[in-house]
Amino acid sequence: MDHLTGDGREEDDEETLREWDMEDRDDGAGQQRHEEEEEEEEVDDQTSVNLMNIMSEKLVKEPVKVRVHDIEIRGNVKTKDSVIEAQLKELREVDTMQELLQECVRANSRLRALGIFDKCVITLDAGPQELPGTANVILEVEEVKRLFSGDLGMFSKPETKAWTLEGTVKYKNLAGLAETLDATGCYGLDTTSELSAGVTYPRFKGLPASLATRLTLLTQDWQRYSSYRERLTGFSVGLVGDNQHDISYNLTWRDLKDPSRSASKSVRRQLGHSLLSAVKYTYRRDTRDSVFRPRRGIAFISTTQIAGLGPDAKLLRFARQEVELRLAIPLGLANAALNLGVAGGIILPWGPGYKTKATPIGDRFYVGGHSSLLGELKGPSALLGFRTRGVGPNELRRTTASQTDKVDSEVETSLKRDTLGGDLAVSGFADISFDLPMQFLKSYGIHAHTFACAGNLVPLTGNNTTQWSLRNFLSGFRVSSGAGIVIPTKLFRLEVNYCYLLRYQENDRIKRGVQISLNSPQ
Amino acid sequence: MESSGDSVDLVLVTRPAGFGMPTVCPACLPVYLYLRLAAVSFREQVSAVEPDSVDLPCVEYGENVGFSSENGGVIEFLRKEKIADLDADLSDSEKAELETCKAMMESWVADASAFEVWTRDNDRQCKVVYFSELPWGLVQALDWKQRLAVMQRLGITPENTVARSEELFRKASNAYSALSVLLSDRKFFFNNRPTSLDALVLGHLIFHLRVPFEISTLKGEILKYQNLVDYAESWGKQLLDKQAILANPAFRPKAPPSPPLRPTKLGSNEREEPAKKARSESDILLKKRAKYFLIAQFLAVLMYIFIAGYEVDDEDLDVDDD
Repeated sequence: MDHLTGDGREEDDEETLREWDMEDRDDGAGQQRHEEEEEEEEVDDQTSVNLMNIMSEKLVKEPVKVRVHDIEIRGNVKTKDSVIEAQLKELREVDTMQELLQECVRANSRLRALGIFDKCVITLDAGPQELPGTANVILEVEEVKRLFSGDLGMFSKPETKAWTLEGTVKYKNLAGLAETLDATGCYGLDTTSELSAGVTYPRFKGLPASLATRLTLLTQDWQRYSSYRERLTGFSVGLVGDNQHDISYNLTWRDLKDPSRSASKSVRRQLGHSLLSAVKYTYRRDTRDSVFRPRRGIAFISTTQIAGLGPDAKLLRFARQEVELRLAIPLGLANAALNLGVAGGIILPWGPGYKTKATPIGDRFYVGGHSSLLGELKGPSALLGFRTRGVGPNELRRTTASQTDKVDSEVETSLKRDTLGGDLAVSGFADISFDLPMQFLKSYGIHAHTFACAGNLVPLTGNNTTQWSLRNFLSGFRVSSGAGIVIPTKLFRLEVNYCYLLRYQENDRIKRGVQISLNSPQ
Repeated sequence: MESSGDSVDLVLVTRPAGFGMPTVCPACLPVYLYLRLAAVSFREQVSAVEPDSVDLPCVEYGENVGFSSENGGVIEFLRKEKIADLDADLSDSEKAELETCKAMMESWVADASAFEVWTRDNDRQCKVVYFSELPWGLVQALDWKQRLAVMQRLGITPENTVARSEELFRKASNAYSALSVLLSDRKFFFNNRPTSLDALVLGHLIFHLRVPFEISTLKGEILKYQNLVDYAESWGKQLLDKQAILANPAFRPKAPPSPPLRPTKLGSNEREEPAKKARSESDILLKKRAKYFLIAQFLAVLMYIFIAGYEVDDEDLDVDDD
C-alpha cells in the first residue's frame, strides 16, 4: 500500500489505509468464512490474498472505476443516520477506487473528530452482482458510553495579571445530532466573570461547515486601566469554514458602567447601553514549523469586522480591520532563527456623523502588556517594556475627594489616567532566538532570544483628536529592546526578559527591567 | 446644543431634548432651570444611552464632576464649587421652609411623577423621555427592567395598583395645594428671588404640563391651581426659550468662574516630584542593592548552568575516549 500514499498523502493516512486494507481483507475473508465450508478455509485465504495482491497492483497502475451503490450504517443507537451520512456525503461522489479509499480515510477522521464514537470502522464490500463496478460501504460504529465530561482549572491571564477559575461541563449527543452542549463558568477575582452556554453542531444539515452557537454573559472589569466595567450579554453563531476561514455573527448587548465614578471625560461619554450586531471574518494561515519556537515559515492573520448590521440606525456602527504577518527565517547557526512580525489595525465609525462619532472604547486597539512577541496572532498588541493598556491616548481621571486626601504614591499616580485606546495601531518586532551552549538546556528546549519592538497608536475619531499626520505618527513610536530566556513547556511558553526602553512618552505606563511572561501559543 | 461660546467651562450632561424642552428628563430639567435662574452660562451635553443611570444629570466643571447621585447632588456641587448658590441669601426660617418644601417635592411629588411616567398607558411618552436613542431590542429590555424597578421602589403590585396610585396622587395634590398657598401671586416662592425650590417646582410643573401623556392625572391636579399654572407657563417661556433669555437682562447667562487648577491637572506633577524625591533618598540605595543582588543571582545561575553544562560535556568526552 505504500505506493498509494505516494501522491502527497500523509503518514497517518497511510497507516489508516493500511489498517483498512487489512480490515477489508479480514472482512472479505470473514464473509467467505460464513459462506464456505470449513475445510476450504485455507484455500480461500490464499485466494483472497492473491486477489488483494492483484487488486493492489491494479490500483497502482491505473484508476479503477467504481461507484458507491449503498452506504450501510450499523451500531448507532442514539446518533441519527442523517448526521453520519452528512459526514459520508463525499463518498457518493467518487468515481475511482483510489478516490474512494482516500475519502474513506477522511470520513473516518471526521467521524472520530465528532467525539461521540469509541469505535469507527469502514468496510468496503462489493456491490450487488447485477451492478458490476459498484461498491457498498459499511460503517460500523460504537457510541461512547460516557457522554458527560467536565473540566475545572485555574488559568492565568498575563495580559491583565489576573487569575481565573474556570469550569466547563459538556454533554455530547443529547438529541442524537452529534451536538455538543456545554456550559462554562469563569470567575476571576474582581476582574472577569463569564457564564456561557453553547451548542455546537457538526455539519448542520445542508451547510458546508459546522455550526456553533453560543450564549454568553460576560463581565469584564477595566477599572484599573480605563475606569469602566462592561457587561456583555450576547449571542454568537460561528460558521467555521475550515482551518483558514472563519465567519461568525455576533449580537451583543453591552453595558458600560463606571462604579467608581472616577472615569475621565472621554470614558464617561462612552458609558451606557449599546447593541452590537456584527459579522467577523478571519483568515488565518500558518506555515511555521512550530508555534513555540518558529524557525521557518510564514504566518498571516486578517480579521475584518463590520458592525451595525441591521435596519436600526442606532446600532453600533463601525468597521474594524486588523492584520498581522510573521516571518521566521532560519539563520543556520546554533539553531538560530530570526522572527519578524508586523501588525496593524484600524477602526472607523460609519453612518451619519461618522466624522465626529467616537469609536466604542472596547473595540479600540490597545498596545502593551507582558504577552510574548511570538504569542498568539491577534493583531497589534504586544509591546514589551510597557504595562497592559499602557501606551497611547490617555486622559486624566476625575478626582474624588478620597483620592486627593491620600498621599501620592507611584502606583496611584500611574493610575490617575485612563487609557483610551487607539483607532489606528501599528506595531512590529524583530526577534532572534538561538540555542544556549549547554546540552542540558538544549534537551529541554530552553533557549535565549534578543528582541526589539516598536509600536504606536493614535485616535482618529472623536472630539479631542489632534490633526493626524504620518510624520507625527512615526515620531510617536515607542521602541524597546531586550533579551531573555525562553522556557517552552507543553502548556505554555515562559519568558524571562530584561527590557530596555529606547523611546517612550510621558504618560505611558512603563516597566523597565526584568519581566516574566507566560503565554499559551495559539 | 450649546447655550453659549465654546470657552464655557461648565457642561451640563442631561438626557435628550423633546416636546419643546431642552431636556425632557424630569430629573434633569430642574437642574437646567436652576442654572438658567442663576444666569450661569453652560454647555449642554446629551447622554442618551443611560436610561438607568442614577448619575444623571451631572455637571462637569473643569476636571471635576458633580453627579446627581453623589454628595447632595448637582445643586450642592454648584454651591461648593462657588458656581451658583440661589439659596445663599435666605434667612434661617426661610431655609427651614425651603428644605421642607424640597423634601415634599422629592418624596411625595417625585413618587407620583415617577408613577405617571412609568405607568403602562404612558409608554409612548416614557420611551421619548428615556429611550429615544437606543436601538430596538434594548428599548424593550430596558423599559421592562426599569418599569419593574420603579414599581418595586414605589411598592406597587398588580393587586394594589389602584389603591396605591390614589394614595400617590392624593399626596401630590396636597403638595400642590400647599405650594399654591405658599406661592400666592408672587413671582417666586421667597422674596421675589429665585431659589432651588423654584427650579425644582418649575421643572416638575413644566414637565407635566408640556409632555402630552395619554393619562395625566397630575396635569389635571396642577390645572386646579391657576397660580401654579401661570407661574410655570410664564417662567417656562422665559427660561426655556433662548430668545426670551437673551432679552431678559436678569437671566442673561454669565460665564461661571473659571475652574481652579485642580491638583490633578498641574498640581499632580508638582506634588509627585517632591514626594518621589523624598522617597528616593531613602529608597534609592535599597533599590540599587536589590538590583545588584538580582543581577548577581542571575549571573550565579548562569555560571552554574555553564559550568554544569561543560562538566556534562567533559564526562561525555571521557566516556567516548574510553
